[in-house]
Amino acid sequence: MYKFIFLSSLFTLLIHSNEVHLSLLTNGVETDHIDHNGERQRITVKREIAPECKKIHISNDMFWKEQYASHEVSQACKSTFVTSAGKKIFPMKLHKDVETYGELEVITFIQEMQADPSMLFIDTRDEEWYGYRTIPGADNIHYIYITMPKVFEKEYKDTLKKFGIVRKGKTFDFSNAKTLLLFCNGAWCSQSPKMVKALLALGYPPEKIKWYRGGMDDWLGLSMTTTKI
Amino acid sequence: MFYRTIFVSFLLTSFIFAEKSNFQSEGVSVQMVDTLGHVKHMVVKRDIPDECKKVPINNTMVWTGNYANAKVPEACKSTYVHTTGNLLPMHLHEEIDTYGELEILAFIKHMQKDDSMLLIDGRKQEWYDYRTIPGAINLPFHHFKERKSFEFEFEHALRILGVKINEDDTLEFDNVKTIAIFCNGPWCSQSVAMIQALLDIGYPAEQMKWYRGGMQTWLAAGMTTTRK
Repeated sequence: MYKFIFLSSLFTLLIHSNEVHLSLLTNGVETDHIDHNGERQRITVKREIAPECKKIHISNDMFWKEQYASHEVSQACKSTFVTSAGKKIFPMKLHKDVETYGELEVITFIQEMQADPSMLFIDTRDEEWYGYRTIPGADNIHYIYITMPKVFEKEYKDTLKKFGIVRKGKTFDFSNAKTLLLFCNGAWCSQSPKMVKALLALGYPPEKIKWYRGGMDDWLGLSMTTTKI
Repeated sequence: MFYRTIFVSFLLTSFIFAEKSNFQSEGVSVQMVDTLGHVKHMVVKRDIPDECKKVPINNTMVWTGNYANAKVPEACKSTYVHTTGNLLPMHLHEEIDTYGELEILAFIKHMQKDDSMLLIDGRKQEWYDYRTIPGAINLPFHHFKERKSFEFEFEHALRILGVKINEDDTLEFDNVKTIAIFCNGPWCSQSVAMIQALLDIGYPAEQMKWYRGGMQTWLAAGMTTTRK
């Protein structure tokens, strides 16, 4: 019985904190974004819902017939994704202590990192993809800089420095390592998992690594702000 | 019960890691009963048509425009409404695991031989009948959320879940099923309403799993559904 009361209150708590996040989704979070040309922009990240989209009736007809959004749904309220990409879909968890984030956790991270330099939000794809469209506030560090240190010696060193890793002879000191949030194209994209794996192999503390598994696919599939208008 | 849950979680984890990528392409076979009572067998897997294997994964094909390129064959892409509902957090409750596609696939595989596991589509029947994840049974969320108005349906659902209803109307949860619940997507609150109602009546949290991605993420990953 006590356990039940405890669990219920926990649940209420989570729902409550969810409401805090939900206000972030509607009101948005402002962030600086430095694009691939080095230009700084100020972007408000939120869930963007065009007025005409608010009137869509949530019915089987509108959502799942045809392929899948109905032709009656206005173009502003739907988007089309490649479903067959990637050799595999990744599991929900990469490591027991690496937390998997969803959109609410990502937007909260973006908000908190504005005032906390120990948090880094990273797009692990290459510069072409990052330059085309990314999540505002994300830095670009291509995963191969970490997975192929011999090929990208300079980038590797710069990245370690940026992450707050101090090299001590053959070992690393992670006591000032930043909290990283990594993403790539979607749950089928292996770039961010590869970077997580390489960081763990270096000895990076797993609790300082967060993974946005849904990536660009889910971010866009839920109508969140990106750097491309 | 606790050890059982640990065991099942362990099984699922080791299964996912042991099988690696074959698991997704070869699939798992599943027996399902539709709402008319017909028994069907299906193989659930990541269905990638051959023509899609040739689509190069580059920025132009995947993200330009809105978003899959016009050159990507119809069979390899799909369109979703992206503006509905409220987005839900990654976790609903400390003790409730959030599942992804692989964990659901492993769950489907194990429930073929384990009567104590149930995959549940929490949407209303019309949606379930149209298209669902093979092997899922339908327990509509409103029978739980509005349980006072759906007394009969609610009691029926509790029996399916293995909840014992005593003569004095108290409930026993000793033999409840391990359930994985889903609805339309990360913006769909129906599975959440059902989980909330189950927690309210005392259903053990560790026996519930939540597939947050739901139909939208299942289809976006190219997974098998009951409709071709």
